Amino acid sequence: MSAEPKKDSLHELELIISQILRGGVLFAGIFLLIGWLWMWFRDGDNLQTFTSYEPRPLIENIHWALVMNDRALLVSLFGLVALVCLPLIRVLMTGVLFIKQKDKGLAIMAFAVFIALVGSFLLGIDI
Amino acid sequence: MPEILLLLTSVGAGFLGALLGLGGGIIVVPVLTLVYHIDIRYAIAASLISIVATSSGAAASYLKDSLTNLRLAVFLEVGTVSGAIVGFLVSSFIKAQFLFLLFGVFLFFSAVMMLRKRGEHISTVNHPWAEKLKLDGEYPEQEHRMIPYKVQNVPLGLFAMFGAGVMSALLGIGSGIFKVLAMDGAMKLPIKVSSATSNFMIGVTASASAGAYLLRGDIRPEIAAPVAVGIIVGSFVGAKAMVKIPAVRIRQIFVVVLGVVSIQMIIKGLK
Repeated sequence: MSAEPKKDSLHELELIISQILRGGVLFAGIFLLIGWLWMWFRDGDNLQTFTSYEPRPLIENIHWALVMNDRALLVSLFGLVALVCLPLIRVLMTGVLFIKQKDKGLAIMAFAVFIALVGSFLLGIDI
Repeated sequence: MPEILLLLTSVGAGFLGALLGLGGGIIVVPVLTLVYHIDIRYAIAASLISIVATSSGAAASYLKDSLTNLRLAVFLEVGTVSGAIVGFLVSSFIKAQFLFLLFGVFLFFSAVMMLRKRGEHISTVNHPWAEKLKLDGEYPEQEHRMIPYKVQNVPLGLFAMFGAGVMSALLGIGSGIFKVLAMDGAMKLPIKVSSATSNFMIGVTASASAGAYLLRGDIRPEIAAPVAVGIIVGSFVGAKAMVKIPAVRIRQIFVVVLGVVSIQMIIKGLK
């Protein structure tokens, strides 16, 4: 008998998750667009510089942008970071959803996925 | 000018991807490498970012339609994310040439899979794991009738998801084709449920390696920004246009295009 109202509140949480995701994509997309257009108007095309592979770590890139006061680069990097973090938020909130559902097994699994995601991000840092 | 062209191409890739039910990755990586001659590692990383963008936006609507099996998705994400981690680690030791070869073979496989007819089946028996984790569910058919389904071969499905995760990280694809294959073929889920659940999972799989590539410095805003923005816009328009365009015809043409591009990628890999 109590299943219905519980299902409703869960459905509400699912809807909140979807709104956050949609809003997040828009938010990150706007930052990406502004940052990129800004760089493009200022520097012109530089796609040809990417024909050879010379990765520059994100931390170095941010540091460089801060030192050079390159706001266009900072804006677009912020958009990229925000975008990549969206699925993290989704998994975390799904974990909360399962806790509310009193579903321990799947809550643990969702948090395990979250920790694995954070771990995989950190693998990108060259120590 | 090339960057604006890249933006426009990405709009087209997103549009076509939404129309055919594919991620943009399958289109974007060959375009970036074969047309713009961008290094394949930058192309793969940019493609992953665009996959995170489109699937996060799309996941929003999937949650509402009660086709997505959220419990199953989270369970299988354990497999895809661990696969993506392995894929990222392996990627450091793989030469660009081999990536071209692998991508070419994958494109060919995708073309074959697109020709396949998916048979509908509804399983009535649960695997013990599915029973324990309550992974079965029900989905709405016409006239809002709910049809219950069970889940089979859970360990095999989880293992296949691990493989899908490796491929996603290595090739910059959402690897929806592998996910659907595992859910349709091994776990015997209804077509609509496996498509919706696969689409829902793609963003998390892609973000596992996208985050790592971003920190390593493979994702450059100069490439990733126009690609991601273009694909977001394109897939949004594509989803709206889907009902008005006969998808079967486009599918047939696209299979031929995939075949040709796969050969080009393989030739580039062999050079």
